[in-house]
Amino acid sequence: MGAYEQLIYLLIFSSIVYLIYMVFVKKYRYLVLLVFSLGIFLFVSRFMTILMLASTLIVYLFAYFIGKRNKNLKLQKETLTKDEYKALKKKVQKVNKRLLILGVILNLSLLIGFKYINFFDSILNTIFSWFHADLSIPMFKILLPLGISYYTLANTGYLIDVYRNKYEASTNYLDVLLFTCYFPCLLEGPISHYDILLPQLKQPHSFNKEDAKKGLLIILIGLFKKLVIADRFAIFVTNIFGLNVKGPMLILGILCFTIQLYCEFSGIIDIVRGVSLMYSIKLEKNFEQPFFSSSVSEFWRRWHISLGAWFRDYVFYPVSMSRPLMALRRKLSGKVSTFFETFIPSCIVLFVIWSLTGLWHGASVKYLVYGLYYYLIMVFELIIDRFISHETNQKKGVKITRMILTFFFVNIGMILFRCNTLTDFGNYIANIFRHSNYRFTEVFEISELIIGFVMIIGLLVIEGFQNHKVDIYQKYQSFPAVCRYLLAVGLVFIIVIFGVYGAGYLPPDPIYGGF
Amino acid sequence: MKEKLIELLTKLKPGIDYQNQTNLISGGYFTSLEIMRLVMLLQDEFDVTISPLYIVPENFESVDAMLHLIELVEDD
Repeated sequence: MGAYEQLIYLLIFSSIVYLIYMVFVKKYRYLVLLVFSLGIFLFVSRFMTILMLASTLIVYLFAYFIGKRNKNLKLQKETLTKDEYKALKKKVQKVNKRLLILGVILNLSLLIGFKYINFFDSILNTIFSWFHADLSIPMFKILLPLGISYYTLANTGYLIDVYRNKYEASTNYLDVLLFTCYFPCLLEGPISHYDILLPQLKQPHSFNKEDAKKGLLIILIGLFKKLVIADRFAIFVTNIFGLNVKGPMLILGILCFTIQLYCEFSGIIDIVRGVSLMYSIKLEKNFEQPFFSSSVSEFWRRWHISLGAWFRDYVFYPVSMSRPLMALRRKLSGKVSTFFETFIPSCIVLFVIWSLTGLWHGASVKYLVYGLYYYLIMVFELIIDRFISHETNQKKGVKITRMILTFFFVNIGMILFRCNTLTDFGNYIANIFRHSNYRFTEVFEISELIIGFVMIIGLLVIEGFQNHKVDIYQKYQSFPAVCRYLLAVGLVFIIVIFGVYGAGYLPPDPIYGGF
Repeated sequence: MKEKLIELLTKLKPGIDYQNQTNLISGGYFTSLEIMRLVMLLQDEFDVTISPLYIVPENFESVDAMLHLIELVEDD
Protein backbone atom coordinates (compact mmCIF):
# COMPACT_ATOMS: atom_id res chain seq x y z
CA MET A 1 0.00 0.00 0.00
CA GLY A 2 1.44 3.40 -0.99
CA ALA A 3 1.97 6.29 1.37
CA TYR A 4 -1.08 8.26 0.21
CA GLU A 5 -3.32 5.24 0.26
CA GLN A 6 -2.19 4.63 3.84
CA LEU A 7 -2.84 8.25 4.75
CA ILE A 8 -6.21 8.38 3.05
CA TYR A 9 -7.26 5.00 4.48
CA LEU A 10 -6.18 6.16 7.93
CA LEU A 11 -8.31 9.29 7.65
CA ILE A 12 -11.38 7.47 6.23
CA PHE A 13 -10.96 4.62 8.69
CA SER A 14 -10.56 7.08 11.59
CA SER A 15 -13.74 8.92 10.59
CA ILE A 16 -15.76 5.66 10.47
CA VAL A 17 -14.35 4.44 13.80
CA TYR A 18 -15.03 7.89 15.27
CA LEU A 19 -18.69 7.79 14.27
CA ILE A 20 -19.18 4.25 15.59
CA TYR A 21 -17.32 5.12 18.81
CA MET A 22 -19.51 8.13 19.52
CA VAL A 23 -22.80 6.22 19.12
CA PHE A 24 -21.68 3.00 20.86
CA VAL A 25 -22.77 2.07 24.41
CA LYS A 26 -20.75 4.48 26.52
CA LYS A 27 -19.34 1.92 28.95
CA TYR A 28 -17.85 -0.24 26.17
CA ARG A 29 -16.56 2.43 23.83
CA TYR A 30 -12.97 1.28 24.38
CA LEU A 31 -13.95 -2.01 22.75
CA VAL A 32 -14.63 -0.12 19.52
CA LEU A 33 -11.03 1.12 19.59
CA LEU A 34 -9.76 -2.37 20.37
CA VAL A 35 -11.78 -4.19 17.69
CA PHE A 36 -10.96 -1.70 14.95
CA SER A 37 -7.30 -1.47 15.96
CA LEU A 38 -7.03 -5.25 15.74
CA GLY A 39 -8.95 -5.12 12.47
CA ILE A 40 -6.53 -2.68 10.84
CA PHE A 41 -3.61 -4.69 12.20
CA LEU A 42 -4.99 -7.88 10.65
CA PHE A 43 -5.75 -6.06 7.39
CA VAL A 44 -2.23 -4.66 7.03
CA SER A 45 -0.07 -7.23 8.81
CA ARG A 46 -2.11 -10.39 8.14
CA PHE A 47 -0.55 -13.39 9.89
CA MET A 48 2.23 -11.18 11.32
CA THR A 49 -0.43 -9.96 13.77
CA ILE A 50 0.42 -13.05 15.75
CA LEU A 51 3.74 -11.42 16.66
CA MET A 52 1.99 -8.44 18.20
CA LEU A 53 -0.37 -10.75 20.08
CA ALA A 54 2.57 -12.83 21.32
CA SER A 55 4.55 -9.77 22.40
CA THR A 56 1.52 -8.48 24.30
CA LEU A 57 0.94 -11.86 25.94
CA ILE A 58 4.57 -12.08 27.07
CA VAL A 59 4.57 -8.68 28.76
CA TYR A 60 1.07 -9.21 30.17
CA LEU A 61 2.01 -12.51 31.85
CA PHE A 62 5.38 -11.42 33.17
CA ALA A 63 4.00 -8.09 34.42
CA TYR A 64 1.11 -9.95 36.04
CA PHE A 65 3.41 -12.24 38.06
CA ILE A 66 5.83 -9.46 38.96
CA GLY A 67 2.95 -7.17 39.94
CA LYS A 68 1.37 -9.87 42.08
CA ARG A 69 4.58 -10.34 44.04
CA ASN A 70 4.96 -6.57 44.46
CA LYS A 71 1.39 -6.33 45.73
CA ASN A 72 1.84 -9.17 48.24
CA LEU A 73 4.98 -7.49 49.53
CA LYS A 74 3.11 -4.23 50.05
CA LEU A 75 0.34 -6.04 51.93
CA GLN A 76 2.83 -7.63 54.29
CA LYS A 77 4.61 -4.34 55.05
CA GLU A 78 2.37 -3.47 58.01
CA THR A 79 2.64 -6.89 59.65
CA LEU A 80 6.44 -7.17 59.53
CA THR A 81 9.23 -5.44 61.42
CA LYS A 82 11.48 -3.11 59.44
CA ASP A 83 14.27 -5.68 59.20
CA GLU A 84 11.90 -8.51 58.26
CA TYR A 85 10.36 -6.31 55.58
CA LYS A 86 13.78 -5.38 54.20
CA ALA A 87 14.79 -9.04 53.99
CA LEU A 88 11.54 -10.02 52.29
CA LYS A 89 11.78 -7.09 49.90
CA LYS A 90 15.28 -8.17 48.87
CA LYS A 91 14.03 -11.68 48.22
CA VAL A 92 11.01 -10.53 46.20
CA GLN A 93 13.09 -8.11 44.17
CA LYS A 94 15.62 -10.83 43.35
CA VAL A 95 12.98 -13.11 41.86
CA ASN A 96 11.22 -10.20 40.18
CA LYS A 97 14.47 -9.13 38.55
CA ARG A 98 14.90 -12.61 37.06
CA LEU A 99 11.33 -12.55 35.78
CA LEU A 100 11.88 -9.11 34.31
CA ILE A 101 15.08 -10.12 32.53
CA LEU A 102 13.41 -13.20 31.08
CA GLY A 103 10.32 -11.22 30.01
CA VAL A 104 12.37 -8.48 28.37
CA ILE A 105 14.61 -11.01 26.57
CA LEU A 106 11.61 -12.95 25.26
CA ASN A 107 9.85 -9.78 24.12
CA LEU A 108 12.91 -8.24 22.50
CA SER A 109 13.81 -11.54 20.85
CA LEU A 110 10.79 -11.07 18.58
CA LEU A 111 12.10 -7.68 17.48
CA ILE A 112 15.68 -8.91 17.20
CA GLY A 113 14.59 -12.03 15.31
CA PHE A 114 12.71 -10.08 12.68
CA LYS A 115 14.70 -6.89 12.45
CA TYR A 116 18.29 -7.86 13.16
CA ILE A 117 18.70 -11.48 12.07
CA ASN A 118 20.17 -10.51 8.69
CA PHE A 119 22.42 -7.92 10.33
CA PHE A 120 23.93 -10.61 12.57
CA ASP A 121 24.09 -12.92 9.56
CA SER A 122 26.09 -10.40 7.55
CA ILE A 123 28.48 -9.78 10.47
CA LEU A 124 29.11 -13.52 10.82
CA ASN A 125 29.59 -13.91 7.06
CA THR A 126 32.11 -11.05 7.08
CA ILE A 127 34.02 -12.73 9.91
CA PHE A 128 33.98 -16.05 8.01
CA SER A 129 35.32 -14.33 4.91
CA TRP A 130 38.22 -12.84 6.93
CA PHE A 131 39.31 -16.33 7.82
CA HIS A 132 38.62 -17.58 4.27
CA ALA A 133 36.20 -20.08 5.77
CA ASP A 134 34.08 -21.89 3.25
CA LEU A 135 30.99 -21.04 5.16
CA SER A 136 28.15 -18.65 4.50
CA ILE A 137 24.89 -18.22 6.36
CA PRO A 138 22.02 -17.50 3.97
CA MET A 139 20.09 -14.25 4.37
CA PHE A 140 16.45 -14.53 5.35
CA LYS A 141 13.75 -12.88 3.31
CA ILE A 142 11.76 -11.27 6.10
CA LEU A 143 9.26 -8.46 5.88
CA LEU A 144 9.43 -6.24 8.94
CA PRO A 145 6.07 -6.52 10.72
CA LEU A 146 4.07 -3.30 11.01
CA GLY A 147 4.98 -1.13 13.98
CA ILE A 148 7.13 -3.80 15.66
CA SER A 149 9.88 -1.32 16.63
CA TYR A 150 7.31 0.92 18.28
CA TYR A 151 5.05 -1.49 20.10
CA THR A 152 7.91 -3.70 21.35
CA LEU A 153 9.47 -0.70 23.06
CA ALA A 154 6.13 0.53 24.42
CA ASN A 155 5.17 -2.75 26.03
CA THR A 156 8.71 -3.41 27.29
CA GLY A 157 8.33 -0.06 29.04
CA TYR A 158 5.08 -1.28 30.60
CA LEU A 159 6.81 -4.41 31.97
CA ILE A 160 9.70 -2.41 33.44
CA ASP A 161 7.32 0.13 35.01
CA VAL A 162 5.43 -2.67 36.77
CA TYR A 163 8.72 -4.11 37.99
CA ARG A 164 9.66 -0.68 39.33
CA ASN A 165 6.32 -0.50 41.11
CA LYS A 166 5.33 2.62 39.20
CA TYR A 167 1.80 1.23 38.89
CA GLU A 168 0.00 -2.06 39.32
CA ALA A 169 0.04 -4.71 36.61
CA SER A 170 -3.09 -5.10 34.55
CA THR A 171 -5.23 -8.15 35.31
CA ASN A 172 -6.90 -7.91 31.92
CA TYR A 173 -5.03 -9.02 28.79
CA LEU A 174 -7.32 -6.90 26.62
CA ASP A 175 -6.13 -3.73 28.37
CA VAL A 176 -2.51 -4.43 27.47
CA LEU A 177 -3.60 -5.42 23.99
CA LEU A 178 -5.48 -2.14 23.50
CA PHE A 179 -2.44 -0.19 24.71
CA THR A 180 -0.19 -2.09 22.28
CA CYS A 181 -2.30 -1.95 19.16
CA TYR A 182 -4.11 1.43 19.43
CA PHE A 183 -4.41 2.10 15.70
CA PRO A 184 -3.24 5.72 15.21
CA CYS A 185 0.16 4.89 16.73
CA LEU A 186 0.82 1.83 14.58
CA LEU A 187 2.84 3.37 11.79
CA GLU A 188 5.21 5.84 13.43
CA GLY A 189 4.39 6.00 17.16
CA PRO A 190 4.71 7.98 19.36
CA ILE A 191 5.95 5.38 21.84
CA SER A 192 3.49 5.87 24.69
CA HIS A 193 3.58 5.22 28.42
CA TYR A 194 0.96 2.73 29.66
CA ASP A 195 -0.08 4.83 32.68
CA ILE A 196 -0.67 7.87 30.47
CA LEU A 197 -2.35 6.23 27.47
CA LEU A 198 -4.45 3.35 28.80
CA PRO A 199 -6.63 5.31 31.28
CA GLN A 200 -7.48 7.65 28.40
CA LEU A 201 -8.28 4.75 26.07
CA LYS A 202 -10.51 3.10 28.67
CA GLN A 203 -12.35 6.28 29.60
CA PRO A 204 -15.66 6.53 27.71
CA HIS A 205 -15.25 9.83 25.91
CA SER A 206 -18.19 11.78 24.56
CA PHE A 207 -18.05 14.24 21.71
CA ASN A 208 -16.11 17.31 22.86
CA LYS A 209 -16.43 20.23 20.49
CA GLU A 210 -13.22 21.94 21.63
CA ASP A 211 -11.09 18.78 21.35
CA ALA A 212 -12.65 17.93 17.97
CA LYS A 213 -11.91 21.42 16.62
CA LYS A 214 -8.36 21.42 17.91
CA GLY A 215 -7.85 17.85 16.68
CA LEU A 216 -9.01 18.77 13.19
CA LEU A 217 -6.71 21.78 13.10
CA ILE A 218 -3.73 19.62 14.16
CA ILE A 219 -4.63 17.11 11.42
CA LEU A 220 -4.69 19.96 8.88
CA ILE A 221 -1.28 21.17 10.05
CA GLY A 222 0.00 17.60 9.74
CA LEU A 223 -1.38 17.32 6.20
CA PHE A 224 0.19 20.67 5.35
CA LYS A 225 3.60 19.53 6.57
CA LYS A 226 3.35 16.18 4.79
CA LEU A 227 1.68 17.06 1.47
CA VAL A 228 2.80 20.64 0.90
CA ILE A 229 6.32 20.65 2.33
CA ALA A 230 7.69 17.12 2.81
CA ASP A 231 6.48 15.65 -0.48
CA ARG A 232 7.60 18.76 -2.40
CA PHE A 233 11.14 18.48 -1.06
CA ALA A 234 11.03 14.70 -1.54
CA ILE A 235 10.97 15.29 -5.32
CA PHE A 236 14.24 17.24 -5.14
CA VAL A 237 15.80 14.61 -2.89
CA THR A 238 14.77 11.85 -5.31
CA ASN A 239 16.35 13.84 -8.17
CA ILE A 240 19.58 14.40 -6.26
CA PHE A 241 19.97 10.70 -5.46
CA GLY A 242 18.44 9.29 -8.63
CA LEU A 243 20.48 11.40 -11.06
CA ASN A 244 23.75 10.96 -9.13
CA VAL A 245 24.21 14.71 -9.05
CA LYS A 246 27.64 16.22 -8.36
CA GLY A 247 28.67 19.70 -7.28
CA PRO A 248 27.71 22.28 -4.65
CA MET A 249 24.03 21.62 -5.38
CA LEU A 250 24.38 18.64 -3.06
CA ILE A 251 24.51 21.05 -0.11
CA LEU A 252 20.99 22.14 -1.01
CA GLY A 253 20.15 18.45 -1.35
CA ILE A 254 21.11 17.86 2.29
CA LEU A 255 18.91 20.76 3.39
CA CYS A 256 16.03 19.42 1.28
CA PHE A 257 16.26 16.00 2.93
CA THR A 258 16.35 17.51 6.43
CA ILE A 259 13.18 19.48 5.64
CA GLN A 260 11.55 16.43 4.05
CA LEU A 261 12.27 14.14 6.99
CA TYR A 262 11.20 16.65 9.63
CA CYS A 263 7.97 17.68 7.91
CA GLU A 264 7.06 14.11 7.02
CA PHE A 265 7.68 12.56 10.43
CA SER A 266 6.31 15.45 12.49
CA GLY A 267 3.43 15.85 10.00
CA ILE A 268 2.35 12.22 10.39
CA ILE A 269 2.71 12.51 14.17
CA ASP A 270 0.50 15.64 14.03
CA ILE A 271 -2.14 13.64 12.15
CA VAL A 272 -1.89 10.85 14.74
CA ARG A 273 -2.17 13.32 17.62
CA GLY A 274 -5.03 15.15 15.92
CA VAL A 275 -6.99 11.94 15.30
CA SER A 276 -6.50 10.95 18.95
CA LEU A 277 -7.47 14.37 20.23
CA MET A 278 -10.79 14.10 18.42
CA TYR A 279 -11.53 11.24 20.87
CA SER A 280 -10.16 13.52 23.66
CA ILE A 281 -7.12 11.23 23.90
CA LYS A 282 -3.99 13.31 24.41
CA LEU A 283 -0.85 11.62 23.10
CA GLU A 284 2.61 12.54 24.28
CA LYS A 285 4.59 15.08 22.22
CA ASN A 286 7.14 13.78 19.76
CA PHE A 287 8.63 17.06 18.51
CA GLU A 288 9.31 20.40 20.14
CA GLN A 289 10.80 22.82 17.63
CA PRO A 290 14.02 20.79 17.26
CA PHE A 291 15.76 23.25 14.94
CA PHE A 292 15.87 25.87 17.69
CA SER A 293 18.22 23.69 19.73
CA SER A 294 21.57 25.08 20.76
CA SER A 295 23.28 21.71 21.13
CA VAL A 296 22.98 18.29 19.55
CA SER A 297 21.97 16.83 22.93
CA GLU A 298 19.16 19.39 23.10
CA PHE A 299 18.17 18.57 19.52
CA TRP A 300 17.64 14.95 20.51
CA ARG A 301 15.53 16.02 23.47
CA ARG A 302 13.27 17.84 21.00
CA TRP A 303 13.33 15.37 18.08
CA HIS A 304 11.53 12.03 18.34
CA ILE A 305 10.96 12.83 22.01
CA SER A 306 9.15 9.58 22.79
CA LEU A 307 12.11 7.48 21.59
CA GLY A 308 14.58 9.61 23.57
CA ALA A 309 12.35 9.38 26.65
CA TRP A 310 12.17 5.59 26.27
CA PHE A 311 15.94 5.27 26.10
CA ARG A 312 16.29 7.66 29.05
CA ASP A 313 13.81 5.78 31.25
CA TYR A 314 14.68 2.20 30.35
CA VAL A 315 18.32 2.23 29.22
CA PHE A 316 20.03 5.36 30.51
CA TYR A 317 18.90 5.01 34.15
CA PRO A 318 19.55 1.29 34.51
CA VAL A 319 22.97 1.55 32.85
CA SER A 320 23.89 4.69 34.82
CA MET A 321 22.83 3.10 38.08
CA SER A 322 24.26 -0.32 37.32
CA ARG A 323 26.77 -1.76 39.77
CA PRO A 324 29.81 -1.50 37.44
CA LEU A 325 29.07 2.17 36.67
CA MET A 326 28.45 3.01 40.33
CA ALA A 327 31.66 1.20 41.26
CA LEU A 328 33.54 3.15 38.61
CA ARG A 329 32.15 6.45 39.93
CA ARG A 330 33.22 5.52 43.46
CA LYS A 331 36.66 4.52 42.20
CA LEU A 332 37.09 7.83 40.39
CA SER A 333 35.79 9.89 43.30
CA GLY A 334 38.59 12.08 44.62
CA LYS A 335 41.18 10.55 42.28
CA VAL A 336 40.42 12.65 39.21
CA SER A 337 39.06 16.16 38.80
CA THR A 338 35.30 16.78 39.34
CA PHE A 339 34.86 17.10 35.58
CA PHE A 340 36.32 13.67 34.85
CA GLU A 341 34.29 12.11 37.67
CA THR A 342 31.20 12.90 35.59
CA PHE A 343 32.78 12.75 32.15
CA ILE A 344 34.22 9.21 32.17
CA PRO A 345 31.02 7.37 33.28
CA SER A 346 29.01 9.64 30.95
CA CYS A 347 31.11 8.55 27.96
CA ILE A 348 30.31 4.90 28.74
CA VAL A 349 26.58 5.46 29.23
CA LEU A 350 26.27 7.61 26.12
CA PHE A 351 28.13 5.00 24.08
CA VAL A 352 25.57 2.35 25.03
CA ILE A 353 22.62 4.68 24.42
CA TRP A 354 23.79 5.91 21.03
CA SER A 355 24.86 2.51 19.73
CA LEU A 356 21.37 1.24 20.54
CA THR A 357 19.64 4.35 19.18
CA GLY A 358 21.56 3.95 15.93
CA LEU A 359 20.64 0.28 15.66
CA TRP A 360 17.01 0.97 16.50
CA HIS A 361 16.86 3.04 13.31
CA GLY A 362 18.04 0.16 11.20
CA ALA A 363 19.89 -3.11 11.20
CA SER A 364 23.14 -2.17 9.51
CA VAL A 365 26.60 -0.86 10.22
CA LYS A 366 25.56 2.45 8.68
CA TYR A 367 22.95 3.01 11.38
CA LEU A 368 25.44 2.05 14.07
CA VAL A 369 27.82 4.67 12.70
CA TYR A 370 24.87 7.11 12.56
CA GLY A 371 24.33 6.62 16.29
CA LEU A 372 28.02 6.84 17.09
CA TYR A 373 28.31 10.03 15.02
CA TYR A 374 25.92 11.70 17.46
CA TYR A 375 27.73 10.06 20.35
CA LEU A 376 31.01 11.69 19.35
CA ILE A 377 29.41 15.10 18.98
CA MET A 378 27.80 14.79 22.40
CA VAL A 379 31.12 13.83 23.99
CA PHE A 380 32.65 16.85 22.26
CA GLU A 381 29.85 19.04 23.64
CA LEU A 382 30.55 17.76 27.16
CA ILE A 383 34.17 18.87 26.77
CA ILE A 384 33.19 22.26 25.28
CA ASP A 385 30.69 22.91 28.08
CA ARG A 386 33.49 22.36 30.57
CA PHE A 387 35.00 25.62 29.35
CA ILE A 388 31.85 27.67 28.76
CA SER A 389 29.97 28.83 31.83
CA HIS A 390 26.19 28.56 32.18
CA GLU A 391 25.91 32.38 32.01
CA THR A 392 27.94 32.58 28.77
CA ASN A 393 25.75 29.90 27.21
CA GLN A 394 22.69 32.03 27.94
CA LYS A 395 24.01 35.01 25.90
CA LYS A 396 22.06 35.58 22.68
CA GLY A 397 25.13 35.60 20.40
CA VAL A 398 26.46 32.37 21.87
CA LYS A 399 23.05 30.75 21.65
CA ILE A 400 22.61 31.68 17.97
CA THR A 401 26.13 30.51 17.09
CA ARG A 402 25.51 27.20 18.82
CA MET A 403 22.13 26.91 17.09
CA ILE A 404 23.78 27.30 13.66
CA LEU A 405 26.51 24.79 14.53
CA THR A 406 23.90 22.32 15.80
CA PHE A 407 21.96 22.71 12.56
CA PHE A 408 25.13 22.04 10.59
CA PHE A 409 25.96 18.83 12.51
CA VAL A 410 22.37 17.62 12.36
CA ASN A 411 22.36 18.07 8.58
CA ILE A 412 25.52 15.98 8.24
CA GLY A 413 23.79 13.32 10.36
CA MET A 414 20.73 13.54 8.13
CA ILE A 415 22.66 12.78 4.98
CA LEU A 416 24.41 9.88 6.67
CA PHE A 417 20.91 8.68 7.55
CA ARG A 418 19.69 9.08 3.96
CA CYS A 419 22.60 7.43 2.13
CA ASN A 420 22.28 3.67 1.73
CA THR A 421 25.82 2.80 2.77
CA LEU A 422 28.83 4.45 4.35
CA THR A 423 30.54 4.43 0.93
CA ASP A 424 27.56 6.31 -0.53
CA PHE A 425 27.87 8.83 2.28
CA GLY A 426 31.59 9.29 1.60
CA ASN A 427 30.87 9.74 -2.12
CA TYR A 428 28.09 12.22 -1.39
CA ILE A 429 30.40 14.42 0.68
CA ALA A 430 33.24 14.12 -1.88
CA ASN A 431 30.88 14.93 -4.76
CA ILE A 432 29.99 18.29 -3.17
CA PHE A 433 33.50 19.47 -4.10
CA ARG A 434 33.35 18.19 -7.69
CA HIS A 435 32.19 20.11 -10.77
CA SER A 436 28.45 20.12 -11.34
CA ASN A 437 27.28 17.52 -13.87
CA TYR A 438 23.76 18.98 -14.12
CA ARG A 439 22.33 22.45 -14.49
CA PHE A 440 20.53 23.69 -11.38
CA THR A 441 17.19 23.80 -13.19
CA GLU A 442 17.56 20.18 -14.27
CA VAL A 443 17.49 19.10 -10.64
CA PHE A 444 15.39 21.77 -8.97
CA GLU A 445 12.28 23.36 -10.39
CA ILE A 446 12.77 26.97 -9.32
CA SER A 447 9.10 27.80 -8.74
CA GLU A 448 8.58 24.63 -6.69
CA LEU A 449 11.70 25.34 -4.69
CA ILE A 450 10.51 28.90 -3.93
CA ILE A 451 7.06 27.64 -2.89
CA GLY A 452 8.71 25.00 -0.68
CA PHE A 453 10.97 27.52 1.03
CA VAL A 454 8.16 30.05 1.54
CA MET A 455 6.14 27.31 3.25
CA ILE A 456 8.98 26.05 5.44
CA ILE A 457 9.86 29.61 6.47
CA GLY A 458 6.20 30.17 7.39
CA LEU A 459 6.28 27.01 9.49
CA LEU A 460 9.55 28.01 11.17
CA VAL A 461 8.16 31.46 12.05
CA ILE A 462 5.25 29.77 13.85
CA GLU A 463 7.66 27.40 15.56
CA GLY A 464 9.79 30.40 16.55
CA PHE A 465 6.80 31.78 18.47
CA GLN A 466 6.18 28.36 20.03
CA ASN A 467 9.83 28.30 21.03
CA HIS A 468 9.17 31.48 22.99
CA LYS A 469 6.33 29.70 24.82
CA VAL A 470 3.56 31.32 22.77
CA ASP A 471 0.50 29.04 22.71
CA ILE A 472 -0.40 29.23 19.02
CA TYR A 473 -3.77 27.52 19.46
CA GLN A 474 -4.74 29.93 22.23
CA LYS A 475 -3.73 32.83 19.98
CA TYR A 476 -5.82 31.31 17.18
CA GLN A 477 -8.78 31.01 19.52
CA SER A 478 -8.46 34.67 20.52
CA PHE A 479 -9.19 35.75 16.91
CA PRO A 480 -12.76 36.65 15.90
CA ALA A 481 -14.75 33.68 14.53
CA VAL A 482 -14.58 34.98 10.93
CA CYS A 483 -10.79 35.15 11.02
CA ARG A 484 -10.57 31.66 12.55
CA TYR A 485 -12.72 30.14 9.81
CA LEU A 486 -10.85 32.06 7.12
CA LEU A 487 -7.53 30.77 8.46
CA ALA A 488 -8.79 27.17 8.62
CA VAL A 489 -10.33 27.33 5.14
CA GLY A 490 -7.15 29.04 3.89
CA LEU A 491 -5.09 26.16 5.21
CA VAL A 492 -7.35 23.66 3.43
CA PHE A 493 -6.94 25.63 0.19
CA ILE A 494 -3.16 25.72 0.60
CA ILE A 495 -3.13 21.93 1.07
CA VAL A 496 -5.41 21.39 -1.95
CA ILE A 497 -3.61 23.85 -4.24
CA PHE A 498 0.00 23.40 -3.17
CA GLY A 499 -0.11 19.78 -2.00
CA VAL A 500 2.04 17.44 -4.09
CA TYR A 501 -0.18 14.66 -5.36
CA GLY A 502 -2.16 13.59 -8.39
CA ALA A 503 -1.68 11.38 -11.44
CA GLY A 504 1.88 10.56 -12.37
CA TYR A 505 3.26 11.44 -8.98
CA LEU A 506 4.56 8.56 -6.92
CA PRO A 507 4.58 9.61 -3.27
CA PRO A 508 7.42 8.45 -1.03
CA ASP A 509 6.78 5.92 1.73
CA PRO A 510 6.99 7.38 5.22
CA ILE A 511 10.66 7.07 6.21
CA TYR A 512 10.04 6.38 9.88
CA GLY A 513 7.28 3.93 8.98
CA GLY A 514 10.02 1.58 7.80
CA PHE A 515 11.30 1.07 11.32
CA MET B 1 21.13 17.51 56.63
CA LYS B 2 20.55 20.59 54.47
CA GLU B 3 24.11 21.84 55.08
CA LYS B 4 25.48 18.42 54.20
CA LEU B 5 23.52 18.39 50.95
CA ILE B 6 24.63 21.89 49.98
CA GLU B 7 28.22 20.90 50.70
CA LEU B 8 27.78 17.88 48.43
CA LEU B 9 26.26 19.95 45.64
CA THR B 10 28.98 22.57 45.87
CA LYS B 11 31.57 19.83 45.57
CA LEU B 12 29.80 18.52 42.48
CA LYS B 13 29.21 21.89 40.87
CA PRO B 14 30.52 25.02 42.55
CA GLY B 15 29.41 28.60 41.93
CA ILE B 16 25.64 28.11 42.25
CA ASP B 17 23.49 29.72 44.94
CA TYR B 18 21.97 26.46 46.20
CA GLN B 19 20.13 28.17 49.08
CA ASN B 20 17.88 30.11 46.74
CA GLN B 21 18.01 28.42 43.33
CA THR B 22 14.75 26.63 42.50
CA ASN B 23 15.38 25.84 38.84
CA LEU B 24 18.49 23.71 38.91
CA ILE B 25 17.18 21.44 36.15
CA SER B 26 14.84 23.66 34.12
CA GLY B 27 17.40 26.48 34.31
CA GLY B 28 20.01 24.21 32.73
CA TYR B 29 22.41 24.20 35.71
CA PHE B 30 22.50 20.40 35.85
CA THR B 31 22.47 17.89 33.01
CA SER B 32 21.03 14.40 33.34
CA LEU B 33 24.59 13.04 33.33
CA GLU B 34 25.51 15.20 36.32
CA ILE B 35 22.30 14.16 38.04
CA MET B 36 23.36 10.53 37.80
CA ARG B 37 26.55 11.37 39.65
CA LEU B 38 24.56 13.34 42.20
CA VAL B 39 22.29 10.30 42.70
CA MET B 40 25.34 8.19 43.52
CA LEU B 41 26.62 10.82 45.97
CA LEU B 42 23.19 11.05 47.64
CA GLN B 43 22.94 7.26 47.90
CA ASP B 44 26.38 6.99 49.47
CA GLU B 45 26.08 10.01 51.74
CA PHE B 46 22.57 9.39 53.07
CA ASP B 47 22.55 5.57 52.79
CA VAL B 48 19.43 5.38 50.65
CA THR B 49 18.50 3.66 47.38
CA ILE B 50 16.99 5.95 44.77
CA SER B 51 14.88 4.11 42.22
CA PRO B 52 14.85 5.45 38.63
CA LEU B 53 11.18 6.22 39.29
CA TYR B 54 12.23 9.14 41.45
CA ILE B 55 14.66 10.56 38.93
CA VAL B 56 12.36 13.23 37.58
CA PRO B 57 13.27 16.92 37.21
CA GLU B 58 10.90 18.02 40.01
CA ASN B 59 12.92 16.06 42.58
CA PHE B 60 16.15 17.87 41.73
CA GLU B 61 15.03 21.45 41.04
CA SER B 62 16.05 22.74 44.50
CA VAL B 63 17.79 21.69 47.69
CA ASP B 64 14.40 21.39 49.42
CA ALA B 65 13.09 19.11 46.67
CA MET B 66 16.14 16.88 47.07
CA LEU B 67 15.70 16.77 50.86
CA HIS B 68 12.08 15.77 50.33
CA LEU B 69 13.24 13.02 47.94
CA ILE B 70 15.69 11.66 50.52
CA GLU B 71 12.91 11.53 53.13
CA LEU B 72 10.66 9.81 50.62
CA VAL B 73 13.12 7.06 49.71
CA GLU B 74 14.08 6.55 53.38
CA ASP B 75 10.47 5.49 54.05
CA ASP B 76 10.25 3.33 50.95
